[in-house]
Amino acid sequence: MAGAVRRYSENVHEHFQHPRNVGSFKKGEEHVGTAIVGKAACGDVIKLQVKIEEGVIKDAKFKTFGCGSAIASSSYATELIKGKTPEEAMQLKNTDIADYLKLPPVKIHCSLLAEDAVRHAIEDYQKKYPGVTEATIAADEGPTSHQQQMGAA
Amino acid sequence: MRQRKAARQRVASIAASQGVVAMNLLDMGRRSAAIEQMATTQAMRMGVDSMNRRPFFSSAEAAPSSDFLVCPYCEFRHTSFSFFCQGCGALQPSPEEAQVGHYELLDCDVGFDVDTARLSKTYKTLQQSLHPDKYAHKTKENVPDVQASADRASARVTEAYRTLLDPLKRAQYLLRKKFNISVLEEEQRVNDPELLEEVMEIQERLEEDPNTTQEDIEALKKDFDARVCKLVNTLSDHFRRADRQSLDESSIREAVERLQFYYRIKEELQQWKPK
Repeated sequence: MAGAVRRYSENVHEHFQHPRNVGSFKKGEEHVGTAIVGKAACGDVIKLQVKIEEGVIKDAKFKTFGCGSAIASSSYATELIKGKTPEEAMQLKNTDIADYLKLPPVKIHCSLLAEDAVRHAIEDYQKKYPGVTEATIAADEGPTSHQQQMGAA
Repeated sequence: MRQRKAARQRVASIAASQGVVAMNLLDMGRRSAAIEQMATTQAMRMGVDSMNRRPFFSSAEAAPSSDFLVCPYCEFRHTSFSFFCQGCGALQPSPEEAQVGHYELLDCDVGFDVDTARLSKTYKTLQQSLHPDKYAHKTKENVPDVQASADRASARVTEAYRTLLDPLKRAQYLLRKKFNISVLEEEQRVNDPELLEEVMEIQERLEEDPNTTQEDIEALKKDFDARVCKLVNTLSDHFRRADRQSLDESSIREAVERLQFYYRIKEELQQWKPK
């Protein structure tokens, strides 16, 4: 039970006291993907949005209704994915968040919820703007170079 | 006194018959262990596997009242759970041994609809009879671990009472025990965006809207009390329908999850302070 009493790590504290990217995009704003995820076990809800332009996550915003760890997890997650391509952001693992914030085992689920929020927000964008992402990948990497890499390996 | 002495002699004879060295029984610690072991062995002999948690009722039927526990003091074979031996009146070693569920523990009919006034009365009566003060002097007389048994029993009674008194905990318990459905688990996600949006909106009003007044909060409190009430009725309907037909799992899951969020909002409303 020691974990439950333990105080938040400094990184959690920092993100909880000064959460980054809090808020939401204006209704009807374009190139935005939105996710709202929740967990009934504790009643936490995370709303996370990504704004994707030219194949890159230009901006991300969140609102979290939950404990300090949930707020810190979503705050840090938005920091991590900004400037990344959607594909890179999809690779985000909850352990990246949990390790940085030094979340105790009982709070790991908070980072999982944040990971889910990121994935769902990007998926929502891809659903709304089908083709946009694939076109950008094709332009950025190109299937040819990918094949060459595969061939070399 | 005579009764207790007789009971102790029986303990010794049961122990001897099971190959437990009777001398060890004089030692308090080992004594309780031996008694628990006996209860287990006895129960197993009667076809009750005390080591594995057997669901206390597995079908839509009411709790079975088959072989429960044999009194370790007088060997009385109980057909239903009782804290005190129906033969010699002694407090039984542990309700855990009897695999007894919350409903049975509190002598309550299995179902979502519960008479809470009656429940509270049963709870209070039981706690009085299990009060540690009643057993303090008995420990001095070297009656085997009776105070520890009373403590354990008392804790179990409290746990059962808290679960059955609260509609959300009760629904969760009933779903798990009777229908083998687990709700509100850590890894489960809520698939109801409308509900989540609603939670978010209320939260924004509470946290960000500077125009929110104490009157608004009071109105919201009333609103959510009414919503909780309505949801509890919905749950009750679902469970009653489940007794006649089958359980509508997705609807009941949805209602339980919604109730959990309403509880959470009610908490927030309680803690609200003007900006």
